[in-house]
Amino acid sequence: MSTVIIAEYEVAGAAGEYLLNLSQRPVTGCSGCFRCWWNTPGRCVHKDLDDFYRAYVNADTAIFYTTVSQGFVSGNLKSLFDRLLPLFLPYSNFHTGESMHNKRYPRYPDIQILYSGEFSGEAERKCYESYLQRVFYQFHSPGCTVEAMA
Amino acid sequence: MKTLILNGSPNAERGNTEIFIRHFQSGMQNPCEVRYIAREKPSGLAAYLEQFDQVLIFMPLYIHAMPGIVRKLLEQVRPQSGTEKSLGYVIQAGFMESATAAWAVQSLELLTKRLGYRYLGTVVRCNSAPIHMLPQRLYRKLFHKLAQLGQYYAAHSCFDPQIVAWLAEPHRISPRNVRLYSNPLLVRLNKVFIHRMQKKNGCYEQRLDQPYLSK
Repeated sequence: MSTVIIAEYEVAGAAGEYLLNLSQRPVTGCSGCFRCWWNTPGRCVHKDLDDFYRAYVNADTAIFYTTVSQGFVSGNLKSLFDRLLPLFLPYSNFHTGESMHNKRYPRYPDIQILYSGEFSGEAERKCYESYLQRVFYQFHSPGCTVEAMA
Repeated sequence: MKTLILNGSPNAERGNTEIFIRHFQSGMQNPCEVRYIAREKPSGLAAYLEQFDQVLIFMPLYIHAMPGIVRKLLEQVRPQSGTEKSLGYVIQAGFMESATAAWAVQSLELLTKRLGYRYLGTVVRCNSAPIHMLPQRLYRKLFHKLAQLGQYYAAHSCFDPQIVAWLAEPHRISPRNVRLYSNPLLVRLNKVFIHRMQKKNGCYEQRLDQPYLSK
């Protein structure tokens, strides 16, 4: 049972085999070059996330401690999501009646998201939570829970 | 009305977003200034856009929302109060249906309102990924609609709802087309295109690599 932690804020007692500390590590933005599909399949042209990719695709669980930025996900977390594309194939499938990326790896971790921050209203909270659910549905995680940090 | 157009693609001038901007501008008598988010510091560009009445951000759809670089720019935009300034968005998406951009549309609307700007709407065009790779004549109708969108914008300072509705089709993939796209023959045909690129780049044999999987 291995766990990866991705943290945008300090969490006391968070335990995992690997920690991606986003509060201290700015993620290089996706270049949109698609070299991870057309030139070096599965490998991003940027190397700053290689250790994270390795931990993520071999983990049973990934726990995200996320912030709320202007009622939505932060730019740094969004860049991380953009950079997950090398973990998927260039093919699409329509099994669920909608466009989905195909898996590159046999399985992906279960996701737990604990967020910290304020929303200006219910619409922002719903949008934030449903967006995160959608990201990990698209990324083939078997389960995804999104909750406010107590 | 002074409008600034921002290109939110990491590819800047090279790519589909630029093609969309070019055709949108072709419908305007006085083209707007275009700046490239990928080339600028978010804080400097966020300050610069305050000089304009209206700002249109053209961008690709990345993982159901705006690319990280667009998100980082918006994080630097200062909230306005009592302003008539407006923000609008044009998204070109790779997937077959515009419903995949629903989270982008909703988050951009909420963000715009939170920042105190008037929301001009979000134009979504799906199935746009191959545009820069295929003969441009295949997209004559799309480019004409984008020019009309630009022409209407120049005259009315907003998006034409009829053109927006046309561009957004299909919103979802019909059950008939789900069966069609899942047809093994068509799936193979799609792969031919992808595999041709990979063969050209000498990586066809590695196409299914799982470089980060522990043995």
